[in-house]
Amino acid sequence: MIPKRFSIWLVGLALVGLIGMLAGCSNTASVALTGSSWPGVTVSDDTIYLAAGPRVYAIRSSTGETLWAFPEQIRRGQTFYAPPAVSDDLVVVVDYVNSVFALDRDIGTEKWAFQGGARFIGGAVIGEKYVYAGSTAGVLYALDRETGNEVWSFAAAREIWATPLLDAETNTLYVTSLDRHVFALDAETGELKWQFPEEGADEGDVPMGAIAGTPSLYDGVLYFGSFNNRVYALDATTREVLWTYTTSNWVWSSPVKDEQTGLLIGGDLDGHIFALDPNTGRAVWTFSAEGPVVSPPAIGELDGERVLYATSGDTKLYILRVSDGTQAVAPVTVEAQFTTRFLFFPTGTTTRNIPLLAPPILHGDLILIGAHQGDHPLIALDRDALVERWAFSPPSS
Amino acid sequence: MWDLLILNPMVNLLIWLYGLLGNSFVLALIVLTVIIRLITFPLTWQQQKSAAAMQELQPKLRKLQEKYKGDNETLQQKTMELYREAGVNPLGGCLPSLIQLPILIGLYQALTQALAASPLQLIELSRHIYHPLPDILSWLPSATSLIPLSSRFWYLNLAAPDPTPVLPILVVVTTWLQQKLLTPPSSDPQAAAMNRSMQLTMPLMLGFFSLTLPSGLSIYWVVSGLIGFLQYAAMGKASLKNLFGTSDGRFSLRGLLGLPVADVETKGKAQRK
Repeated sequence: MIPKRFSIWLVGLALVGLIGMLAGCSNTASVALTGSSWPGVTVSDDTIYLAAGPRVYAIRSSTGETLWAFPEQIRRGQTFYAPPAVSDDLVVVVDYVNSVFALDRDIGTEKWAFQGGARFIGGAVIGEKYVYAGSTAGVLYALDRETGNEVWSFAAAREIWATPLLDAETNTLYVTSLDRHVFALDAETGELKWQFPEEGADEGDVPMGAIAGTPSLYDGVLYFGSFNNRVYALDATTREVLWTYTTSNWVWSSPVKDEQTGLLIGGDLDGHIFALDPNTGRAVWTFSAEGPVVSPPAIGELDGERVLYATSGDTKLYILRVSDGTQAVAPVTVEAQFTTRFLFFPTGTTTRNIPLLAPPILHGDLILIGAHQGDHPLIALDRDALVERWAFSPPSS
Repeated sequence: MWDLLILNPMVNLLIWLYGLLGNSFVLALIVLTVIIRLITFPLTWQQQKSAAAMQELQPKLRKLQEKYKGDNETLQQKTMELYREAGVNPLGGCLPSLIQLPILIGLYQALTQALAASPLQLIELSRHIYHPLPDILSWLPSATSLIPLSSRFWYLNLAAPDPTPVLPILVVVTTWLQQKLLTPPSSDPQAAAMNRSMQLTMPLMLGFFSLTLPSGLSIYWVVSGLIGFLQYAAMGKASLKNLFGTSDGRFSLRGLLGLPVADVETKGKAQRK
């Protein structure tokens, strides 16, 4: 028999175990609650700018070598996910805490910092005079490009998760929000030009859902996806809905246009990749991946054929012919390396395929893919051989 | 299978309640907790009955333990006979708890999923949403037009821990109070020590977790504790006598702290009667 005094402790331990199980049994949920996304990647000239975890890196694209890292010393609790914005002299990054940083493009030193009231998920965009960034408090900030001082702000009702779209031609800033609206703002003054849907407008049988992606703009027409399983084509001048395309799940990102065929290509969280006629919104073809398609595809050439590269949560990179949606080559799986640990001590490495959520980026003879799992936050594939060329290992702080 | 049977129904129910109750996550949480408490009521009732029966057998069990000290085989045999004669299943209290455990875990997961606050969480949530809804359920609010749920309540972001110690303290107090009101004081010093240990461990652990976990969960613990208390009170199982450890329910600081009070023996006898 177990002594009673001991059994009291056993009961206590069991309770601790039970609560621990309740707290930790859904590991993904508890991890996710700390808030996370996938790495943000931007390429300019021969340099890759990567926002991944605690730092932002400038990487030489040919070798994967680190040119600089920001911040020099990792700051507790600070993480970066949104794609950096790059201009001639600046790299502007936002963190997942509440700050916008302008860095010297060549050496990565901080030029100015701005603190907003909430975390930033979408990236910043650099205009002629201002830097624009939207926060999860629903506030879009216009900051002086030289000093980082706030010039004006615009408040949406809910979180802004997408990088704003700046149309320099009309001096209009398009902002989407999880409050189910697209806003068109005067980029100089922040004045609201219009919002879609308008206040009190009849939204029909299917009300507008949240909008998480940056809209795309081609020939005066805004295209964006929504959580109400729709892709919208909206005339940016008349605000008339030209057409909608219905999918079977949320549309996270906006479709992109292939300049050669004119087709709009996007995906939904059920894994459907679709090519739409930009005039009618009718699907020219659809393709089913086995996992969610979150990010917009990249379009390029492979063996003289127009192809699109689309990442999916099923761990595959699909390469489809733009003309008919058939597979140009077999899907590529990306294998990531993971350090195995016992308690806190590394014991070795293992590899496994990872879900691909970040957009593929075509750069010269490389396909760059941000990886939100594993030891290497950026993997570069050879565009012809479709095998890993290099994987970026973040330098220690 | 887990998602299909437990998690998905709870996530969708929570979202529908949110839509039906004026986009209030806290109200949805309260109603969902009540629904779950109602569904699991037969199990809770069975558990209470079994616990009461086991408590009544304690004096006889102690006598058997004294009588057959050192002879485990006979002790086990006699103990089983005692259970058989009294018509008590020693697992009667455990089984309902085991059945309730997946529901509790599912509710915890549904809460954390529904309060998705980051891109990865929202993508995960999309896997659990029913859409499109069959025509028969078309009167329900559409999840796609509600998501992401507003996680704001008063000064709290329900998807993040309470920045003040208010909720952790409330969690500790309500959990402790609920256990204290429900557990009759025992005349057996060892059983009393065990009660004290349990009455302290659980509230402190939940309080500790509420310092780091989303405040929505802390609210669930507070609400669940209060509803549980009301439920037990309606069943006649909650009592001031338990709270103060006195036979007539009068205030006693020692009793409140779980220490022996002068009339516990009398109370113990009265309880057995």
